[in-house]
Amino acid sequence: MTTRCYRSKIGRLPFAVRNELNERIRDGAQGADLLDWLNGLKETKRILRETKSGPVNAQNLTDWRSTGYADWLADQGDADRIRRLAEVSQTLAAAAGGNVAGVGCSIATAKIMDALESADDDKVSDLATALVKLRASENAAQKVALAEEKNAIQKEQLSLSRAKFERDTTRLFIKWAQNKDALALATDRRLGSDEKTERLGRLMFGDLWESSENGK
Amino acid sequence: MNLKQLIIAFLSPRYPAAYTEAAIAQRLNASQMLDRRCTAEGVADDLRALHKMKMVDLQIDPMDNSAVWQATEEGIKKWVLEGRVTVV
Repeated sequence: MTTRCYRSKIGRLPFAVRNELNERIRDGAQGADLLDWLNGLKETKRILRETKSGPVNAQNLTDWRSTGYADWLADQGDADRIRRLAEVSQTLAAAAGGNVAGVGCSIATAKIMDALESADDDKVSDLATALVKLRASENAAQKVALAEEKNAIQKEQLSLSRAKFERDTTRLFIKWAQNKDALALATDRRLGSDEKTERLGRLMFGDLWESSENGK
Repeated sequence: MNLKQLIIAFLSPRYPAAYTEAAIAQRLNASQMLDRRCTAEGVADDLRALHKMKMVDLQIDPMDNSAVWQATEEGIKKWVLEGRVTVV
């Protein structure tokens, strides 16, 4: 962590200004833009007035990149590493049956953090990789289970539709078997199967039959 | 940085991990970031002050009734705004 004291022009600027400068450098801002912004700040003007210095220049910025900015970047790396360890520790504590929101899980997370922070980096990396793989395989298994459930529902719907179709067809048959015209068409030996189907269809469904045929 | 800032710099990146006052003091001393060693009592005083400022949360371990402390959302926000300085 940073407890360093910087004596350069930029190093004397307030913490918040240096922090924003570091973020702008990290985000790829150009030197000329950074100098314009920095020299335009009232905090910078005050510091320069107090130290009787000229404006912050390109060399000052270059020096800052290799000192304060480099230290800041290292701090960010530390923060990210500790955050990742905290996430892994919390996952492990929860996997052991802990209630994520409970005090027990927070204490267990701290104990695991202690162990991980003092462990070899490669071993921690292996552990993190294994946990990520475990999570990925659990997600994959969950997706398969969901797909199977969806498939079963579709089969059930299909089965219900088929049963309904069979019932409706039987009712229709009973109704039209009592119709003389329909009976004559169905039993006419001079007509082929396709012709009978066509004529019976027209008789039973009228315009609807035609529109369904047009839709073929 | 003073002791309060260091406590925040220790607890925030480790959230939701919760530590006793003694554990926090031990880790801060091990980091060698303080001008002089701190004690668990000194850490406890600053933790209580931070608690009033809603920067840390106090919880009681039901197993042995010991007090453990963790960062709050407010504390983590402050930590981020101050550049995420981290006690390693």
